[in-house]
Amino acid sequence: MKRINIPKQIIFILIVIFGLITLLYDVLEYYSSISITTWNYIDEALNLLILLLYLLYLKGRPSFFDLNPKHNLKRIVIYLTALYVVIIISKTLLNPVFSPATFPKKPETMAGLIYANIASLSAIFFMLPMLIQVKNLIFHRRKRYTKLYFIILTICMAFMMIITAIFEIPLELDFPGFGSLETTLFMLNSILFGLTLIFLIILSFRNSWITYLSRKDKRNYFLLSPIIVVAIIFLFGYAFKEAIPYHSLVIGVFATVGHWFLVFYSITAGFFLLIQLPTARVFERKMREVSSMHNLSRAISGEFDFQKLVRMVTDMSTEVIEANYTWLEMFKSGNHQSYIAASKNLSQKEVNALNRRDEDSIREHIYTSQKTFLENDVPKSGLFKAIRAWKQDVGSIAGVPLISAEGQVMGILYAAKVETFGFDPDDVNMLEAYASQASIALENANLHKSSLERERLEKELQIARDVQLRLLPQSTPQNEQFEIETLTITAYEVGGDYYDFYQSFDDQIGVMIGDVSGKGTSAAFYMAEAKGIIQSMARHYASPREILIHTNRILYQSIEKKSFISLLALQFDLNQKTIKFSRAGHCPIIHYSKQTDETSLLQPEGIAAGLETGDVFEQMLEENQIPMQTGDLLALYTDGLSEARNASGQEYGEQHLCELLKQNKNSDVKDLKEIIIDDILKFLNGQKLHDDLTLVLLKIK
Amino acid sequence: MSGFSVSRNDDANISKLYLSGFLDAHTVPKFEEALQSCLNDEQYNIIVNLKDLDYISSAGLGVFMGFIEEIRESGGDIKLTNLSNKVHKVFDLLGFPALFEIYDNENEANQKFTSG
Repeated sequence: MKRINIPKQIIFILIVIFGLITLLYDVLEYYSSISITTWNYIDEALNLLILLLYLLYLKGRPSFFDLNPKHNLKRIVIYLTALYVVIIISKTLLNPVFSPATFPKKPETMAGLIYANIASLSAIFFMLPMLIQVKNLIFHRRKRYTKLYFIILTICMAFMMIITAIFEIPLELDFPGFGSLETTLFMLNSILFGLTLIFLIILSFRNSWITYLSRKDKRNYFLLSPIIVVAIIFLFGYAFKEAIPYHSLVIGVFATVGHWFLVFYSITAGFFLLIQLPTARVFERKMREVSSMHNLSRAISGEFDFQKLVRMVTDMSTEVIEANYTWLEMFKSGNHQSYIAASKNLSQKEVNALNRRDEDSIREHIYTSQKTFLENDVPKSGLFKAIRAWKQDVGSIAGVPLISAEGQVMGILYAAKVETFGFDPDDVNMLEAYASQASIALENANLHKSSLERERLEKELQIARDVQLRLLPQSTPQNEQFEIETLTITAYEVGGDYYDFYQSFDDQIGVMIGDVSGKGTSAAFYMAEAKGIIQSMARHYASPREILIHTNRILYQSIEKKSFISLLALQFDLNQKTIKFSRAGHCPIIHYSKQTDETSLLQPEGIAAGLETGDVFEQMLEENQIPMQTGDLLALYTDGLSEARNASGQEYGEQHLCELLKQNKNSDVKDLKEIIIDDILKFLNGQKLHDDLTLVLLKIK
Repeated sequence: MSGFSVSRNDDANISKLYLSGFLDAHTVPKFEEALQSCLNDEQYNIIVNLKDLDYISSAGLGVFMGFIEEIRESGGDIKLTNLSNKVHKVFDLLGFPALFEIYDNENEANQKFTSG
């Protein structure tokens, strides 16, 4: 629809001017008793213009589009009252009398003429907005053809206006036959009128807005409806019937159709109000149930604050089930203890009393049966009467367990009413629905919490892994007398594997390998600490044993009692071609001897660092020295390698590694490393490592 | 991963803990709880039977270290019995035999407690 924007003031001025012209024409006609046909048409056209201008004005107001039924009804009552006030005052003052002989009827006095004008304008100014409000009521739940019906009505009305105004044919349901032109037009007008009435009736049944009124509103409006219906029915005969046609036939048609519309609509509305009264309570409650479930489920998907959720559950239970008291009791995970997570209409004292109640027959009953509990007559219930010791006015009580996905009772949602037999099956169903929603919410919140926790751990793990990797040497020492190759495979969880190289004297190269007990961040930090200590000890002491003894003394003081570090230090003397090594609780060295073509495990005595203050450590720690020959191979490793497990739980074992070294005695360490990796991966067969794996290979050239 | 369980059996002033399954970083809290409950009951003479223990990680060994000081200060001890070859190897590698008394069976450990 096109929006025509004419300023309000201009509309107002035009209406006043047109109104005065039509009045003037009436007066002229009255006194001269001549009727000029052309002027008649202009007069009718002006009246129609007033109607349309006013419609235009109304369209610019917000009330034209207001679809709130309460506002619509209020406006209808206001306009109706105003119309009656104007008419009653005018009638009393002017006392109009119309001669019944002609069509349209003529006023017998000047006062009658003025009344005719007032009635016509009242019809426009009060009825049009009323009809718009009725239209809005119908559009409250617009249906497929609603708009089409309105268009048909408008077209019918336009034709009736033309026929009635031009040919001065009264608008009545009469079918005189198609004899003359006049009777044909009469027939046509009647058919149009009949059609109009049919569509008015159809539209009158469009009053679904009634359904969504509150119970109170339904009752009030129903009580009011007879008055309005009567007022509307009598309006036409009382105010318009005689007066308007004289002033304007167009307005006459409008007032007739409008009146019938109001009559039909007010009657059907009253009728529907009446038949919906008995179901109003149930309907209202269902609406509340639906909207509360909607709110709750929406909240559950977005809300992870457990406290907020439980409060919502108790609030809604109270509101919808109309319980006097509602509370949610939660069980602490792992044990049978419970606490009140949320309550409604209970004092802190009463909640505390509930928290203290260890022996609770109702709780026991629900906990063991895992089923809904209902006692509608607490005072006569015997066993469950004890609840009245806590709160004397409890007449009926219901409790529903919150059951987790694993089938455990997480909590109980209680509702209590003062009256006995307060819970009908519907209430219990609703309470169960709330409880199941609450269990979902609870599990969601828990899941969310644990996922946050997991995220935090992941981050921590990443830090630990970064620290660990940065602590490992970035390059391996190179020399024409030996080859060194290293391998580190980190597990998902950070272990405490450590290896490092140190240069104590020019002709010696030192290798340190170790494993911090435990996993994760603490292991990574202890490893960092150990690295620092070892690097500085290696500058001060010449032998592996001494380095380890002093490292242990310092470490013991600074790490947790339950933590320790297994270490192995090995020094290769380039000049003498010998190795010196000490083992502090670490895995043995695998030595492949070229001369004997055998592998052996070098495992001198020694306990892990950090276990003991120092004396026992020192006393236990041995240092061995053995000569090396070209082609000899040494493998230092952590238990992540020897204890790597495959899917069937078998361990890789050092024997495996020994054989591999022997088989590939002639490969250089780079190739050997690849062979070992392939072998381990083949052994694991897709199974993940549960611990870091470290390997240092040293070959004498 | 296989589970871990610990059960306790008190015999006069000696508490016996029976470990079974996998004792690693994930299952140590159970073992710590069991040892703590002994301390709470003022039971300081503790025999830990490892007959059914399949695996012990460094974190598992750490538990013994975490408690031994307090227990020895209170005049008690932890004695280990019935180690399988595999578990014994781990203890041995780390040098635990220098720090803990390890026996073949409970009787020997019992005798040690009663005589010592």
